[in-house]
Amino acid sequence: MTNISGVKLNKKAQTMDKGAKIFYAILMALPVLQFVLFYIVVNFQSFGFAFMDTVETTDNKIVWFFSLKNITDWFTDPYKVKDLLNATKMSLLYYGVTLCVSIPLGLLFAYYVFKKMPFAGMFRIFLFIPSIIPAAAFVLTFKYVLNEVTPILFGSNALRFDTHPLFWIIFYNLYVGFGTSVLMYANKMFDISPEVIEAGKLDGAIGIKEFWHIVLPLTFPTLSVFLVTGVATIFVNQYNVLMFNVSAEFDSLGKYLYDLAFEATKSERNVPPAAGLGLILTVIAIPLTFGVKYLLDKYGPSED
Amino acid sequence: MTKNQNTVKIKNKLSPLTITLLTVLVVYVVFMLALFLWALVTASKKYSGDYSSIDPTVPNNIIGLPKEFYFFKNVSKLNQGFADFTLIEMAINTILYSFGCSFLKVVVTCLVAYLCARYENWFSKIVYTTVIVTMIIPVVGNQAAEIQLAETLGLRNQIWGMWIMRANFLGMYFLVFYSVFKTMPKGYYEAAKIDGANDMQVMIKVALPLIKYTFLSIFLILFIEYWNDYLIPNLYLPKYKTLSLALYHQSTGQELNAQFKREMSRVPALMASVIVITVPVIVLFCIFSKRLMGNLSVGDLKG
Repeated sequence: MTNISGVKLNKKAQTMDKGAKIFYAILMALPVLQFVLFYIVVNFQSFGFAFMDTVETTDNKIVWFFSLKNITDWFTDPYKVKDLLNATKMSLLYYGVTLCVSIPLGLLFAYYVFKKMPFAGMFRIFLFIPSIIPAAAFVLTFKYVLNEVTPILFGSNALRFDTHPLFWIIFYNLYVGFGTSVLMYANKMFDISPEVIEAGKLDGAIGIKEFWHIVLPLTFPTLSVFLVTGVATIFVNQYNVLMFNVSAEFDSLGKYLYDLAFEATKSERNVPPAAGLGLILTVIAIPLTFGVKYLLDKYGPSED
Repeated sequence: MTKNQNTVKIKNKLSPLTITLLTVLVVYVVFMLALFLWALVTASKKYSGDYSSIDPTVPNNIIGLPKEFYFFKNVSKLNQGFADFTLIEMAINTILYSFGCSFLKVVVTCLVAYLCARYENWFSKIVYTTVIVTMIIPVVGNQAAEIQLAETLGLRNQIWGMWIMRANFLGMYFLVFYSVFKTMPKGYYEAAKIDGANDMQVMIKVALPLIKYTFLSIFLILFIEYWNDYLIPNLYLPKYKTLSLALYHQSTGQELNAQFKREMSRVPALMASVIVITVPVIVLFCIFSKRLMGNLSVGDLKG
């Protein structure tokens, strides 16, 4: 064995390879065990639960048996179908608004920060704050300000949270998510080499041209990550609906799944329906994610 | 640069688009400040006789300044307001949960990333690929099964149980550490080895000191994330109520001390809780703002 200078390592160095193996194995063992237990076993168990059902015997014993009920129920039980369709509709609405409003605005304001326009440094700080404030605190303050303060300030109930909960839930999620996306895009923009910007200027890329032809393509990897991982948020993001404490008609898929998981804390018998729905959504989410990734790779702007 | 040059530069930058963007940002910031100013002022009010008027002819004081500074009295009510926990106990639970989960998560992620970057063998490649695959493939709805497993293993309703469950190496931060370790010159390691250091010494004395700021940044981000989390404690730690979970329960009127239930659901008491859980995060942000804001970006990883 040789080192980087091509000098042969001595015998001691070679025997340390065995020590390195032991060192590697000892340090890797527990994290791998943790992964096996809490990722692989959990997912296999969840898969198994999706095809199980229970029945309570006369002597109060619970008997488990194979069943497709936890899958088929989500397509046949009218109450479950109604809840699921509503949650899907709400999730698509929350996600769609985020996609159409938050991303273009985020990019535009990130460009503002990137170009160091007036007070950009101060805004960077304020844009970051919503991502660190506890959601429970922010949601509650937001809701009470709308409910208690706006009627006094405007002499009308039109802006109260309780008057337009859906609008305000969407507004809140945009407001809070906006800052994080601006900073993520801006951080990526700051990585653009000043030489590239200068070269663009010489070629006439100034202002909106600079944004469109230089900054946007070079920010695309970050945008791409947002878009690809964003697909999963349709299924898991609860959009703070739980904290807003509103009726079930505003439930997203994430909130609906969370409620099912909460039911599972009460009894093991409540696990299979949650696992069944999880499996159905995973089967939809995986090809959707890869489809979005494929489309972005094929049709998205190139950094070159 | 002279004052005149500065003025010209600012004037050049103030296009109609810039002014529009500036206005939106100002409104964004003012709205945020107004929210928290109102929360602070309201948390300092007495509910009956100030925020809500006893005298029907006197209007409620919802947006005015407090008649007397009642903040600490509101906070002291939180101490008695929950059925099974004092404020101090909830604060301790929150610190143990946030610190333990974030510290173990960052240590495990850092170690595994170091091993994968430093020792390029088939197993490291499998681990690296696994991290990427788990990031891309969205697995939905396995939480119910995880709760059952935690229950079976005796980890549910134990803070140390949550530490174990969160001590995984998956996620974006693995890639952050991995890229930092990967870009470190191999000569550092080899020089230490020639000097007689064993693998453990190389890791502790050479590699880890070089990533201390990345480590701190990720630890802080995770600490704040766990501090703010009420969803996971609601499922896994009902016997160790954290401050965020307490605020959620307070807002929905759950698990409150029957004697103080009405007072606890009043707006000033709720806002007092808001301030109590927000202030530590703001203090952390003020101290470590550069660490928190500057070190990470998605899609392209910086150390």
